[in-house]
Amino acid sequence: MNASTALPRRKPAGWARPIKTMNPLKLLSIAGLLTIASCASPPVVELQPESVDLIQANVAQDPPLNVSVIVFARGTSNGQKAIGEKVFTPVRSAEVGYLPFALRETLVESGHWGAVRVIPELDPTAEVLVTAEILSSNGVELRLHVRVSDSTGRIWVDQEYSDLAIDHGYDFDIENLVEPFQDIFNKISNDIYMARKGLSEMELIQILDTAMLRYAIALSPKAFAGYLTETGDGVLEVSGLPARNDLIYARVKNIRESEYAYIDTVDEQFENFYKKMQLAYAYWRRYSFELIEYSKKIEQAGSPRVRSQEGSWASMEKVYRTYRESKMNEDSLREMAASFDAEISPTVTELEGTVIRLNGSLRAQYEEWRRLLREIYAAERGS
Amino acid sequence: MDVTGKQFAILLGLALVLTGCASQQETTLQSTGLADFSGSWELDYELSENPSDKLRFLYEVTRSQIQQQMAVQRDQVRSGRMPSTPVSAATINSLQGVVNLGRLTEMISRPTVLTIEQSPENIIVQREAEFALTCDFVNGEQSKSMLGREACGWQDNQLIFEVSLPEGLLVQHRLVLSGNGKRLNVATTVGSSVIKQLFTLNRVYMPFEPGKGMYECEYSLAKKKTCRLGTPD
Repeated sequence: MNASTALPRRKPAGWARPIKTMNPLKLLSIAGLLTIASCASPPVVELQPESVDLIQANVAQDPPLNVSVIVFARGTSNGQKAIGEKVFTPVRSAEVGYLPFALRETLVESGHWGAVRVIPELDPTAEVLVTAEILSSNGVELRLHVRVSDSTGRIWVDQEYSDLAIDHGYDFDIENLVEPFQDIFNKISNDIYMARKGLSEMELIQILDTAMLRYAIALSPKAFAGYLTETGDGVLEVSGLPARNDLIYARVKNIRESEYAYIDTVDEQFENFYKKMQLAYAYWRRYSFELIEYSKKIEQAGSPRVRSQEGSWASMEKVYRTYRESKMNEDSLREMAASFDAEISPTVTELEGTVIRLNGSLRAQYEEWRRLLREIYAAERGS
Repeated sequence: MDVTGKQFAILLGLALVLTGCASQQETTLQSTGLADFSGSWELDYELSENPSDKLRFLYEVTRSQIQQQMAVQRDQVRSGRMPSTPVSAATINSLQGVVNLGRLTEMISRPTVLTIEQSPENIIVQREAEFALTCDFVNGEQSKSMLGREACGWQDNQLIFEVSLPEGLLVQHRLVLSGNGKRLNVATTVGSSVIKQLFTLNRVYMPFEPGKGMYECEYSLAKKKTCRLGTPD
């Protein structure tokens, strides 16, 4: 399939009809013939999975660009959430940390990139920056708005993606879990790769130089601002580079390496969370799927034999138990997400020969790290 | 109009059942309410309805209705106004349906301890050995997904959680605080589109101080759920 094809594509029919209600007076008049017939079975959900293969590199790409994947946004902005969809879900809270790591894994597997890291904050100095907003997610369907740009400000990808999870096996193997939305990550990865493929070697080198210069400007605007100019369309151009033996620039490069080492430790925390969440997420998805399939079966099979089973203890218990299991897994996911925020380990890392310890949320740790770097640099320049 | 004891029992039964119906009527839920349910609650057995008694009662009511219908039918057969027919499967099913609803309601209403965290933004009703009931008052009280329709919100000072599932299965929890705030009633109503009755069970909870001889549990990523026995103050 064409990796750069615009989405979205499949939209399952919304199925839950509003719960119609009863008039108590009328009900009294018919002596107790109470009915909730309008609590009808939902309409058929048409699920049409589409498989997307990941384009993998045969040889290492040169120059290798580093990719920063920012923790996904929850998707409350610009009213794009699906009608009736509740944004506050336990699953969503967990997914904002889980999904970017799943994308990271796919990008790593593709072999097109240098280091691929998940970071808690926007990093304008990244060589390739991936941000995404979760437009809808219910464990069965995932819809994302993904934006990918490079350090020059050039937009690589800016579009919506959607995927259904049903083609990745609900009778899963606990020892070998498959990412349910692997297709969406393959598609995003392929699109990013296609965007990169369209760039010349000169443009790729410009991306690397611009990223480094933007980092240097963040630390010392006065020394480096003159090396970048903005074109009319908002893209940055390198108008010159510091001399090869520029000590200040060499220093900035060293600091940048320290930052990469720090981000790698943060990345490990996301990885741990991802691994712990994988199983609960898989169970939750399976029970969700069972409910959908069950309702589909009832809706499709209007046969007397199937209809006669409705209202039986076995059928009611099965539906409720499946729903219950799905909700229990939601609880697990909520607890995990809350624990992830609460239990972020202090990051112990090395900075300029000194061991430092950062506390608080990952975002707070990241901000603190950036502040320390600026302080060290300013102290050096001041001395 | 004279009302016999039997008729009174039927009307009383209907009134109780209709409590559940009435609750379904207002599907418009609000995002704000005045009641504060926060805290730890344990079941007050004395004030709570017994599922078996309630089921027996509703069963009798339904059976009475059926017997009355059959009596009318017999009269009509005797007078030659209609031919004789055997007891229909629907009649038997309606009795069985009531029993099924009662069993399911009992299963759903089993938790004896509730721990409620409430803020202006959301509420989480943790139920012992059951999934939590959660509601976000800010981002919308209704959730329609491929799984079913879930709704939550306020009707005056009553907090309502409602879900409709495949099979036309409907489950509603209605939380009401007593005037003095010392008791919390959770009315659980279960219905099915193929059963002509609703089944409502009222479970009453009273506040308690956690930690006094109770298990205190917490969840962590590393250890999952760990519990320890609380020590008295």
